[in-house]
Formats: sequence, C-alpha cells, structure tokens
Amino acid sequence: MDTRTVTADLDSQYLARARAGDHAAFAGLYLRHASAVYTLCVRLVRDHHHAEDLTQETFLKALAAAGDFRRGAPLAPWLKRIAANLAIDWRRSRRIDPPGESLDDDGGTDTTPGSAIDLATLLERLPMHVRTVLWLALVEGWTHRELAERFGRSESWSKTLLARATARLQKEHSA
Amino acid sequence: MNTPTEQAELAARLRQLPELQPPPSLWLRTEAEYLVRHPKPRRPRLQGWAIAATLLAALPLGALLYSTQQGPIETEQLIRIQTLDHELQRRIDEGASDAELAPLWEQRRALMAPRPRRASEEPSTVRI
Repeated sequence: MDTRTVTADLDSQYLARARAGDHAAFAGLYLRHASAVYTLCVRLVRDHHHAEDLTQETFLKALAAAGDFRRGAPLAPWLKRIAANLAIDWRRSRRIDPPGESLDDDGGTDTTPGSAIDLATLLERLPMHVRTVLWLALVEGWTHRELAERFGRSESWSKTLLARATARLQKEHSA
Repeated sequence: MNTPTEQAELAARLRQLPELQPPPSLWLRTEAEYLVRHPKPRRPRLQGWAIAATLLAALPLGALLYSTQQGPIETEQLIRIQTLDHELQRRIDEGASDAELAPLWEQRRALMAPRPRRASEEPSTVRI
C-alpha cells in the first residue's frame, strides 16, 4: 500500500468517525484539508469572508454526504468538488455576473505595459464565472462537459471562455 | 485561440500560487456548528481549546509564538497526537481492521480530552 492509499484510508476513517460524532476526528479532517478548501474558495469567490462561510459549509456538507464518498478514494478532490459546487450556487443565488456577460464586457484591466501585477491579482479581476471556469478546468481538472452541465451551458461555451481567459491572463501577466 | 500548451503553461503557473491559511477563528465557528449538528454527549469546554491549540500549531512559527493559547502543555499534547496519527497510519498500512485500530482511536480521544490541572496551576492559599 503506498502513502497516498494510506492517507486516503486514514481520511476515510476520519470522515466516518466525524460523521458519527467523533469531535477529534472532525478536527483531524479539518486540520488536514482546511487550507486546500479555503484556498479554492478564495480563488473562486475572491472575498475572504464569503470564502470562510463556504469552507465551513463544505466540511459540514461533506459529513452529511459522507455516504456518497467511496472509502479509500482521495478525500481532497471530493471536498474541493463540494466547495466548488457551493461556490457556483453561491454565485447563482446572488446573480453575480450572470451568464451572458463576456470577457469583453468588463472593459479589461487597467494594467499598463510593464506594470508588475501578480497572477493572483489578475485572476481576481476576471468575472467570477470566467475565473471559476478557468480555475476548475486548469487547476482542478474539471472537463468541459462537467463545466457545461454545472453552468447549464454548452461545452463550446466553456471551451471558448477558457481560451479567451487564458489568452487574457497570459497577455496581461507578460505585460 | 490559444494552444493546449499555452493552457498547460498557465495551469502550471496557477498551481504555483501559494496555498492560503484560513484564520484560526474559522475553526472555532466550524466546530461550533459541528457540535450543533452532531449533538453527541458534550465534553468539557476545555477540549475545544485543546483542538484549537492543535490547529494553531499548524500555523507558521511566528503566529505560534504570538499565540496566547499555545503553552507547553498543548505543545506536548500536540506531539503525542501527531505520533499517534503516524502510528494509526502505519497500522492502516499493515491492513489493521477497525477493531484493531479502535484502541488507537481511543487513545487519541483520550489525548484530546482535558488534562487535570497541575499542582502549580491550582489556586494557592496565602496565609495572612
């Protein structure tokens, strides 16, 4: 059994015990994964307070949905998928940059050639749905089909959005 | 349109962005909500502080030094918990059953429980 399998098995035990009311197991689960979940939430919703709310809800929802988790599978991707879905629902419920808004609509960033703006800042300046598609596709490995289904759009919408966002970030980051 | 290579390059740069640490207060909030939704027999309040101390230990050393909740007792406790976690992982590696692991989980629970106060921590009586 390799280290990854052992870690996954330990995570499974933490999850099952936390769901059964084992306070220490819940703390262990949080300790191991809170940073990754919180980072994803910040990247998607940008606002740290909302990211905290989503992180908290992710862990509590994971316990409620623990029966759906396949024992021995890596827990981090499963937790992050819950977090991403919560973030997408959060955006939808607040009608933040509703579908239809394109990358061109926000007028772009106000960077001047040669200015040193880090990638995280450029990412934050993207509309939330663009940022979400970009991050989930490139970093979390979501497929275009998954993104299209989750956003209620077509795969070509997801591919186009990703291509344009990539071009924009590359252009502005190298400016 | 960009190429898959360009997207892969951007993906690599995005993955290099630093992981962010949630504020310690988030654990206390999450823990409180957990206890509301999983109302098991309540343990003494001190346990919450022991867990908070464990989480605080995950912060950078600088934050640890400035923490007022992280004393020598909690540090010792944290080391023992971590040692036990390694042992748990090793036993799982060996294919131990849930029943075989149960004593280790029990030990871990005991470690997370409040510790008796030391004599030096008891209130002392001053003779006048």
